[in-house]
Amino acid sequence: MNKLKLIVYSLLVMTATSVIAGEISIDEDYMQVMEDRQKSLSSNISLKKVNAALNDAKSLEESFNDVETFYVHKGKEDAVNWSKESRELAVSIQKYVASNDFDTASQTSVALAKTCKTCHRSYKKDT
Amino acid sequence: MNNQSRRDFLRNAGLGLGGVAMSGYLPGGGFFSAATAAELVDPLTPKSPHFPAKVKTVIWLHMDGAPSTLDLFDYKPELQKLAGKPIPESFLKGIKTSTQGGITKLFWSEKRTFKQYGDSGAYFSDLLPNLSAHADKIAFIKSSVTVGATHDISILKLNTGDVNPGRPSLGAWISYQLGSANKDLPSYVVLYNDKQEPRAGSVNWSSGFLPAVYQGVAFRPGDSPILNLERPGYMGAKEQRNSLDLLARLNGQRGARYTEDTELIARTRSYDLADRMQTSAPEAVDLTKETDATREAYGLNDEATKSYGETLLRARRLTERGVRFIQVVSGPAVADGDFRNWDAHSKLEDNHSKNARMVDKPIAALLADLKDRGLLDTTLVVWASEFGRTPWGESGDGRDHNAWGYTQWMAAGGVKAGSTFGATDEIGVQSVGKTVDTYDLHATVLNLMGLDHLKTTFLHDGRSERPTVVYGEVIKDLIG
Amino acid sequence: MNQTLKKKAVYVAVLLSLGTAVAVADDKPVTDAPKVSRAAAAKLWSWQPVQAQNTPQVKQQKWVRTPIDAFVLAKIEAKGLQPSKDADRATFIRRATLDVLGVIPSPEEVKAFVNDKSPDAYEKLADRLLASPHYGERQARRWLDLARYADSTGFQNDTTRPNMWRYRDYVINAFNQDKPYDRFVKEQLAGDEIAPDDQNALIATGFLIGYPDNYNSRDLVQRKYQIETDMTDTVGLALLGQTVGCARCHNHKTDKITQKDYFSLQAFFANTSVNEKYALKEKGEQEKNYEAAQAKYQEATKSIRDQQKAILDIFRESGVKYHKERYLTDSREAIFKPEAQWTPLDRWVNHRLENVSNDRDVEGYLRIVAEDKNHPQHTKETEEKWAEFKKLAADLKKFDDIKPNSGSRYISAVTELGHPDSPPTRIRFTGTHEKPLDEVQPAFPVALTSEQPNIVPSATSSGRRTALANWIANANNPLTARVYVNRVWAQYFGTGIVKTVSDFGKAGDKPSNPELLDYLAGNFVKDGWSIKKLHRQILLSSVYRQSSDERREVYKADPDNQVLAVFPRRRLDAEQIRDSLLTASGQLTDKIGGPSVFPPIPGGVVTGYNNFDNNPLWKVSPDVKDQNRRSLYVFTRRSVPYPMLEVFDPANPQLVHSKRDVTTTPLQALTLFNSETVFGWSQALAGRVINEAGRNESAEVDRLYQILFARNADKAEKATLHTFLAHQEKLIRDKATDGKFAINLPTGVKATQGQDPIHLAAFVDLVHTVANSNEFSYRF
Repeated sequence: MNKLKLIVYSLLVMTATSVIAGEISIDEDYMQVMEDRQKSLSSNISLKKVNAALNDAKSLEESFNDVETFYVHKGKEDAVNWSKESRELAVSIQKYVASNDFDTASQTSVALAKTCKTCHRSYKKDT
Repeated sequence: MNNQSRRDFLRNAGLGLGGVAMSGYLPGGGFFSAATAAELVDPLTPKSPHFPAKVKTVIWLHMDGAPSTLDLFDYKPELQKLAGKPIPESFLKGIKTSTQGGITKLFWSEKRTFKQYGDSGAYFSDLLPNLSAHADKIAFIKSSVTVGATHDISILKLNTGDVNPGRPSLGAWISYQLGSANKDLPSYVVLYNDKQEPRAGSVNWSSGFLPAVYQGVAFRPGDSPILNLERPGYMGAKEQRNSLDLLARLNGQRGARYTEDTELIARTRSYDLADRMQTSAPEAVDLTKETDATREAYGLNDEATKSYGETLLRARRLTERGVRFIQVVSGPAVADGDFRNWDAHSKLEDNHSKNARMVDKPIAALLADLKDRGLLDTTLVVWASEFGRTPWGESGDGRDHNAWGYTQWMAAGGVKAGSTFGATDEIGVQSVGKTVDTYDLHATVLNLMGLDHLKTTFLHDGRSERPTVVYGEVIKDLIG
Repeated sequence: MNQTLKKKAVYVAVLLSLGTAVAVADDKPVTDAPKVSRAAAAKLWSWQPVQAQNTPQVKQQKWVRTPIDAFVLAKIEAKGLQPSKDADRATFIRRATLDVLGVIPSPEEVKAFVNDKSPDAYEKLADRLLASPHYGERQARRWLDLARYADSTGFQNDTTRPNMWRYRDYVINAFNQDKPYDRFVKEQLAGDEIAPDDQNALIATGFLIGYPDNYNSRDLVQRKYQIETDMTDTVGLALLGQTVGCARCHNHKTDKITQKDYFSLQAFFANTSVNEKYALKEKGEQEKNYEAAQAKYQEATKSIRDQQKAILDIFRESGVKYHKERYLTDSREAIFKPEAQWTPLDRWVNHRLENVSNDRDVEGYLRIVAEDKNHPQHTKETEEKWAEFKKLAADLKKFDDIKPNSGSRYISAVTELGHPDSPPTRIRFTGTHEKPLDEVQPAFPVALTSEQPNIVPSATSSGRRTALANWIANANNPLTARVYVNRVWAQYFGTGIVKTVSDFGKAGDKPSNPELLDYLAGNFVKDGWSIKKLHRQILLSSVYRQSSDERREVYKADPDNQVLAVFPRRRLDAEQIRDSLLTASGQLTDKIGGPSVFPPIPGGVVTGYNNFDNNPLWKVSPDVKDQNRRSLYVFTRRSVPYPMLEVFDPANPQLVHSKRDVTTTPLQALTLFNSETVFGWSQALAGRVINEAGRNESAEVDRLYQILFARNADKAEKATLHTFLAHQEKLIRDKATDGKFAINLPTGVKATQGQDPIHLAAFVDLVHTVANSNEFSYRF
C-alpha cells in the first residue's frame, strides 16, 4: 500500500508541474488545434486585439513546451530545437503585442509559421 | 475616399444612380450604414498602395503542367554526368517521394546543352534561344518550393495560396486592394491559348471570400475574345444607354433589400463594366492594329508560336490600358497534338521542344516590346508553375513532379535584374539554403505593387484574412 | 487546450496508481508513445454506420413541419437565433418550380397557388411538381454532371458518340419513375449482368462508358488502364464520395485507402469493354426517321462512296497492316496474335482495335504514301488514286446538308465480350502503367469494410461489377445513402450538410449537422431509397419555406448562413437561365428525350470537322423547334462548349462535376444583353405580354412581372418604367432621322393595327431590360 501511495504521490507531483513525458500523443488533432490557434493569432494581431492575441500566443507557448518535452523523450534533437525556437517566438510575440508593436508581432508570427513548416518537413506524416 | 469625392466620382463616371440608399462594407474592412451613404460605393475605385509601387501591372505567365526547369534554366552538369545511373541515396534525404526505394535512373536528354548569357551569365538551355537574350532582365528564383500533390491542387495553391478552394486568387487580392486603373476594362483578366478554359478551372481566378466583383474575367483565344461585344444593329447607342440606366435603377431599387449580398451588387456592376467594354474591349484586344514587325516578333506568322504569341500581344495591349493583373495560362503547343501541356512524365524531349518553342519567342518579344514602349519598368512579368520536375522519371524519358526545388522567375519592373536567388542541389532534386514558397512569391509580388502583404487584409467570418494566410516573406534579394 | 492535457495526465496518473504495470520512474525513453486515453484514431465518421436519430427537442416546436425542421432548428436555436418567417406564396412557388422543374412558373400556376385556400395547398404543389416529367429532366441534368456526360469523346478528335443520348433518356425516365436509388445505381454499374434481357438496364451502363476517350491512342493497353482509372475514380467520387483516385499513385495521404485497395477496386472493371453497336430490340420513331434520313444520304452518295471504297480496297491490306503496326509493342502483340491464342487481355485489345478502326485509317495510309515522295511505298498509282480520292471527298462534302448529324440506331453499353474470365489487374508502381507489380483481385477497401465481394460469373460475364454494385447499393454501406441525400440537400440549399459533396474523407468537410445527415440517410433507405419522397419532405419543410430576406442579426451571427436561419438566395444555373428565358418567351419546345440538338453558335467559336468520322463538330439543327429545346438536350461537345451555357458556369464534362460554381462577370452581362438570340426571346416575350395583357401599359408591365418574377410591379417600378418608355420612344424616333432606321419589334403579336411601332420597339427594350435584371437570374 505504501508503494502505491508513493507512486500516486510522485505522479501527482509530476502532473502539478508538467505533462508526463511520452504519455501525451502529439498527433494530428493536437497539431490541428495549434495550427488553428496560429491562424487566430495572426488575425488578432492584424486586428490589434491585444487580449485575444496574448491569449493565443500564450497558448502556443505552452503547446510548444509540450511538444518540446515530447521530442526530448523521443530523442529527436532537431525537433527539440525547433520546438524551443517556436516557444521563444511565441514568447516574444507576447512582448510585442503587449507593447503595441503590432508590426513586429506580425512579422514574428510569420517566422513562427515558417518554423512550423520546417519541422513538418521531417516530422509530419504524409505532408 | 470621402463621401463628397465619391459623389463626384460617380457623377463623373456617369453612372447616374443617385438616390439609391445602400449600405455595405468598405473595402479594407469597416462598415458604413445605409443612412449615411447616399450613393453606391464603387468597389473598384482606384486606391493608393501602402507605399510607392514599383510596378503597375503583373503579367503572370502560368506554365501549365509544370515544365522541367532542369531542362530550361537550372543547369546541372552533375546530373548530366550521372544520367542513366540510379540516384544516390543522399539526395533523397528528408523528402518523401512516392517513389521511395526504387526510383528509376536519372535522365538527361541527349539533345540538351546549356550556355551562359548576358552580363549576369545566367544559364539557358538550347530550348530557349530567344529568351536567353533577355537574361539580364530576369531575377531567377531557383529554390522554389510548394506542395506537390496533383496538378489541380498545386495550381490552386499557386494562384490562391491554399490547396483547398475558397481563397481569393492573387489577382483578386490586387484588384481588391488597388481597385481598377481603367474603369472600362476588367482590372483582372485571364488569357489562355487553348480551345477551352484552363482545365484547373475558374477557381484559380476566383474572388474567394472577397466580394465577387474582384474575380478575374476570362477572355477567349482567337478572333472573338469576348462574345457579344457588339450591340445588335437595331439598337442605337443612346437607346442602349437608356436601357442600361433603367437596369441599374431596377437593380438598385430591388437590391436595397439585400445590402450584404455582394454577388447581387457585383452583378449590377458587371453591366456597367460590360457597357464600357463594348467600346474599350474590341480595341484592347484587336491585334490588327499592330505593325507587321510586331506581329512577326511575337511569332504570329508561325503556327508553332501563333496562339501563344497572340495571347502575349493581347497581354501587352491590356497592360497599356491599365489592366492590373493579367493571368496567362499556357495551352497545348500543337492544337490537336499529343501533349496537352508541359506535363512530361514521358517523352520529355518532344514535349518540351514543342512547348518551349511555343513560349520562347513570344515571351522574348513581350519583354523587348515592353522595353520599347517604356513599359518595362512598370510591368512585372512572372514565370510560374505549380511545381517543377525531378531529375528522374519513371518512364525513362520523362520527369516526375518536383515540389522541393525548382525554378520560377520574375522579370522587368522592380526586380533585381540579372540575378539569381536560391539554388538546388547538384542534381536538382531539392532546394538548398533559403527557399521561396508560394506565399513568399505572392508577398514579393504584392510588395512590388506597393502592397504590404501583412496589411492587405479583409475581415471574413470575424477573422482578418490576408493573401499569405499566416505565412509569406518578401524576398528582398529579388527586388532591385 | 492545456487544461485538457493536464486533465489527461491526471487521468493517466490515476490509472497507473491503480496498480497497472508501468513504472513511471523508469527513464527508458518510450520509442512509440502510446496514445493513452484519447480514443485511438477512430474510424472515419463517414465510414461508420448511419446512426438512427431521435428527433431533437426544440423550443419553437410549432415551426417544425417535418422532422428535418427539428434537426435544423436545433442548430438555429443553439446559435441563439430564430428561423425566418415563411416566404410569401408567390416567392415560394417561383423558387420551388425553378428548383424542381428548372424553369419559372406560369402566372396562372402562381395565381392558382396563391389563391389556393385548401389546407394542403403546399402538398398539392409539391406533388404536382414531382409528378411533372420536367422533374426528371432537371434531376437528370444534376446526375449527368456527376456522370461526366458528353455526346463526344473529347481529346483532340472529339468524335461524336451518337448513342449517349439514350443514356440521358434512361436517367430522365429513372427519375420520373422514381426508380429506387439502389436499383438506379445497380443498373448503371451492372445492368448488363443483373438484367441481361432488359434493354433499359443495358443502356444504364452508359454511366460507365462516358469517359473521355482518344481513338488515336497508340497504346491500347495503356488506354485500358486509363479507362479503368476513369471508371474507378468516377464511381468513387460520384457514388461513394471518396477520392479513391488519390490512392492510385501512392497510398492515400489522408484516408486509409492503400494503393492495393485502389487497384482492387479497378479490378472490378478489368473485363469491361464497350460495344457501340448493340441492336435495338424495337425501332422507335427516332430510329425510323434516322434510318430514313441515313438511307436518303446513302443513296444520294452511293456512287461517290462506292468509288471511294474501290480506291481504298486497292490499298486496304497494306493500309490496315500499316495502321496496326503503328500501335505500341504490347498492343501489337495482341493484335497480331491468332485468335485461338487470345488471353482475356488480348481479347479486350482486339475488340478495342475494331471499335477504333475504320476506313479513315486506310485513307490516312494512302495520304501518307501518296504525299511523301520519299516513302518506300510511294508510287505513281498512290499519287493518282489519292488525288482521285480527294476529289471524291470534296464531292461528298456537298451532300453534308442531307447527312443526319444527330440520332442513331444503336445502343452503346458495356460488354464483357461474352466471356467471364478477366484480364489480371496489377498494382502499378507510382500509378505508372509501365510499372506493374503484384496482381490483385477485386476487393473493397479493407479499412472501410471487412466485406468480401461475392462474385458470381455467368457464362458471358465476370460478375464482378454486380458484386461491386451490391456492395455500394446497400443499406449497410455507410457512404452511399449519406452521399446522395447530401447532394439532394445541396441542390436545394446551395451547400451540402457536408460541403465537400464528393469528398466524405478526412480531407473533406465534416457535416455541419451530422444528426440531420444521418436522419436523412436512414430515412432514405427506410423509404425504399425513394428519391421523390426525399424531395417531397424537403419541399414541405419549414426550412425550405423560409423567406430569403436579409436579417442583419442573422448575418452578423452566421455570415455564411450555415445554420440556415435564412433561406439562401442563389443565382440560377446555366440551364435554368436559358430555359426560363425560353419559357418566358413562349418558345421552349416541350419535348422530352431524344437525340441532342445544335442551337446556333456565334461565328468566331471554333468549329471544323473531327478526324475520326469526318463529321462536322457543330452543325446547327435545321428545325427551330430543335434549337429551342431545353438546355439539357444541347449537344455536349467536349471541345466546343455551347457559349451561352458556358458563360454561366455549366458542368465540366471531362470528369465528375460535383458543384456548380457561381461567377459574376461582365461576359454574362454581355451575353444576356447583346446576344441576338436573347433579343429574339425578348421580342417574343414582348409579343406574348401584349397578347395576354392588352393595350394598357400598367397591365402589360404587370403581366411581364408576373411572368418573370411571379409578382406585379409596384408603383415606383411602374413610374420608372413609364419614364423609361417615354424617353426610349423619343430616342428611337430621333434615330429615324439618321437615315439608317432599324427597330426591334415584338414578335408573335396577334393584333398590331393601331400600335405605334416606335412604342412597340421601346416596349421590347423594356422587356429585354427587365429580363436582364438580377431578380430574374436569381432564385429568392
